[in-house]
Amino acid sequence: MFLSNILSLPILIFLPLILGLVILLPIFSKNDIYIRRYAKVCFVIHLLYSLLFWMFYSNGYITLYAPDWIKPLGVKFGFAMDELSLLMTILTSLIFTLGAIASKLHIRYGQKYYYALLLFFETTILGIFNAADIFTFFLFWELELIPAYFLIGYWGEGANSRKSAMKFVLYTFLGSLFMLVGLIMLHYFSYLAANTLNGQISMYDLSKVGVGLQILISMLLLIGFGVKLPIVPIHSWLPDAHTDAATPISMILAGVLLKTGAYAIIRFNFQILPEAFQYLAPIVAAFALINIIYAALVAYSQTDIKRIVAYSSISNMGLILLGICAMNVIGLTGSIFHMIAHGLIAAGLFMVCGIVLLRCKERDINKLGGLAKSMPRLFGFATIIVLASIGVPALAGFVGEVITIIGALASELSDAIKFIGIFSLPVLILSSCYLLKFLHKGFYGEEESCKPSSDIANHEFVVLGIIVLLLIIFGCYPAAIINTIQNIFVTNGAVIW
Amino acid sequence: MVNDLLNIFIPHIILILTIIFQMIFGVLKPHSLIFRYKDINVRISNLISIIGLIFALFSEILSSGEYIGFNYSILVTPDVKFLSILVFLCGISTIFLNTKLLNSNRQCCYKYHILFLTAILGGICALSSNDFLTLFVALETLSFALYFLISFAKGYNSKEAGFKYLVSNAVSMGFLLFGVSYLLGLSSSLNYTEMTQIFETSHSGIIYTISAIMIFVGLAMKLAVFPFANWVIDVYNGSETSIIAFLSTVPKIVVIGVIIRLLNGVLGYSVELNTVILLMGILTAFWANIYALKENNVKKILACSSSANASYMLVIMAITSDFSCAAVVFYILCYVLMNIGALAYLNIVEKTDGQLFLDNLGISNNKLYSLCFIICVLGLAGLPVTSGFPSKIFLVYSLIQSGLIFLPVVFILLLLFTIALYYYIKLARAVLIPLKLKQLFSSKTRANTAVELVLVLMTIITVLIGVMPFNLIARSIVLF
Repeated sequence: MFLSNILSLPILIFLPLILGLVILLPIFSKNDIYIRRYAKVCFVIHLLYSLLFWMFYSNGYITLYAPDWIKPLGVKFGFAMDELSLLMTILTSLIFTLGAIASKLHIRYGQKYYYALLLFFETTILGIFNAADIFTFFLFWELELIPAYFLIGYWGEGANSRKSAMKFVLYTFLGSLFMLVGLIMLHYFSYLAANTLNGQISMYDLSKVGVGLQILISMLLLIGFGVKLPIVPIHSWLPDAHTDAATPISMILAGVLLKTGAYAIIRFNFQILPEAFQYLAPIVAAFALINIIYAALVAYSQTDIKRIVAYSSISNMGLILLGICAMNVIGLTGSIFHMIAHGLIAAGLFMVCGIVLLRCKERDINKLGGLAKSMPRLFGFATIIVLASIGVPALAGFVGEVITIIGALASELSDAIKFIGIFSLPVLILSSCYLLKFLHKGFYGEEESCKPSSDIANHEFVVLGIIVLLLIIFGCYPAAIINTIQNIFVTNGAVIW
Repeated sequence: MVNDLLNIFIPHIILILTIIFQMIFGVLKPHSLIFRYKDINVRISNLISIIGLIFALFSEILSSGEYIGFNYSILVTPDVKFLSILVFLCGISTIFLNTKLLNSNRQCCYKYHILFLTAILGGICALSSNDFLTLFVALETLSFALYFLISFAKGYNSKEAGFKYLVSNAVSMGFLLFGVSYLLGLSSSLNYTEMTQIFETSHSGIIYTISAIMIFVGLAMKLAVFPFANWVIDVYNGSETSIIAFLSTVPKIVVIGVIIRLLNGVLGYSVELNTVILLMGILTAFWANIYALKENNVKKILACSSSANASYMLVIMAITSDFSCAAVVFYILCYVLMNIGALAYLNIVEKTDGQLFLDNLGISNNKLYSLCFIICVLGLAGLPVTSGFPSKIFLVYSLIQSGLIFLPVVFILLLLFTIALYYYIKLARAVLIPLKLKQLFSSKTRANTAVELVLVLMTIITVLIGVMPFNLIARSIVLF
């Protein structure tokens, strides 16, 4: 019982920031190795701490600070955690830990600032996942731009990394401003209807607000979240940012950052505005289908290995969006499961790309080849991760995809969603096309220009090993996560679910 | 009555006494051969001004309540007091920045202070004026001192800038007077209170509308609003950074305060005026943000940024809601802090010829300075953990509150915010780019302690307001 008493949300969220500030102190002045080891220890401690939350989880956690944060607007500052936040928190600290371990060979300069910013980045993302109040949520949503900009722009691998970082920031900022209008409308009109000032996400009641207005708010919020997710017409920051960022940052972007968009859609559009989302869901599902098909086709035509993986992320996020649009328990379970599965898969694929990039200095898939001979261990890991992403049974990707599509087919909302579910099935074949092309051209065949001298190093083995292990565990025993996901519906007990 | 008058006028009297002290000091100035320091003149005159301003500030804080003086030609209300305090604080922090400027012209430093204090005197008189005549005289006092302050720096550019400011101000005052003369003809009075009573009953005439727009245009030229905004770029480009710090804060606070008072009284009966303000605000935001996109000159970028920020405030004022005045006051408070912080950094890196381009922003290799500048600039863009964040939320909130019909306006503003973010990030990035070049100049740049103090203090206040905005927002709402 002692352990459950030390679990505190503010510590969970601000621990990385505080540990990151320590790096900036002069005690770590010159020695890069110490800084790296210290940062790794920080991330591992944080991962263990967040696992404690899972072990002792009973009824959710809530901490409200500064109840009068912006008093005239009834805005509070606080954190709350339910099962969804919990899963996302653990995913975040896991992927950040893996990213920190993977940084060893990729980050060559400015390590002090790199690790400090990485820890700061983790705090902002945890803040998004655990915010109790809409303005707390918005604060962290915008705050995350600052570390993300510097991490993408200043430690990037591509030639245009600053440009890509700027593109990412501008897209997200514009989206988040639309979101701000949506949030303020949500806040103001629920205040007008219920006559109580309230900013807490779990306490919004919009039953008295007109449906038209709810749809407007829901659309505004969707623009903001859709930039992060990303939904296809507003996706073009993602391939650039993912390609030009350093490998650990790409892992984090694809593994965690995109999930903030999906998380926010579940939290806001689904939980607070279910009535409006009923009307919007078929349209959004159509966008999700475009996401899945378009991104898969584009991925097939790419030659840059990181771009292939980036577009595959867009395709998978479309699937997650489709599961949310189904608006039933199965679809949502599938979405949340696939968020975690895809977080691991995307991180793994980017890690593989990073290793290839580091050894061969070559990202054009046509110039690679025959890596299986010189790097058998990498080949083994890459195969398992690619198979997981394609959706081969007994791996986590299969469970997520199948449950999500079954959810879409079982949707009682509209026949359109069922059709979209059917149409999204053959697309899984497309995904195997581009990913097997990736595997085929990269690893099979004769060695061309690139002859790597060594197989993967120990720390890379650890990263890929953890990812593959988890993919297999969750694939064979999905109940490990699904049981927790099922509890979300019990505790929240919202109208639709 | 005497007590009341003294209560209002103690700040003014202190300022006038300080000006007289400076004049006496100018005559008796101690010779640098006698004292150890070469810049003894500068130090003493700075000290006199700061002491005077601090006394004036405290007397302003300690005097309480509403006061009416000189047959309703002076009216002090809580919001005027708040803005006056802000003017004094801007004045004090600008004096901290002037070392570079005055050290290039040590013999004339007392002239600078006389002009400077006169400008502040004009500013607080204009804020509390309840009469068009008082307003005109006070604004002229402010502008008149500013012409010479702008030209104070050495070199041709500053003289050109001063002359441009003179010409544009002469035109703006012409507009103002023209409008006022029509209103005088309509109401046979110059006093706001009397005029408000008259226009309450009869305000439909076209002449009223035209004169209201004229007066607004006259005031708006000082804020650099779009069709009349081109002066701002040339003037800022020619001025020294400490003068820009003054120019972009004090006249702005004063004019915004005057416009708030006019819109809530004399000019509040014209719907057309609100439309004009809204249009001009949006056009200014467009013009300023798009002009700054391709700009390489840091001073010009800041000129555009100040113009753009003024336009946001105009948009809030045009769309009236419960919170609009409070939102404006809070916005200007936040803007002023971040702006002075950013200019303090620019003051450190500014070269003697006064030119500042993006390429030579990163010269200071002090990490603390760079961090402070980045925080201030990102605050101007409205990113969180700075005071720009709550002020942005407050701005959008007050716009939403006035009705959904203004949603397109909100979207236009948001688009422009994003464009603005681009050039603010360009500024913040410019500090970091020459990481390798910096290693050539291995010695650490250390600025004047006073400038350093302003930079760090403004950043800390900015972050504090960003983290805990509750008290200030509540307070700014109570003002109205």
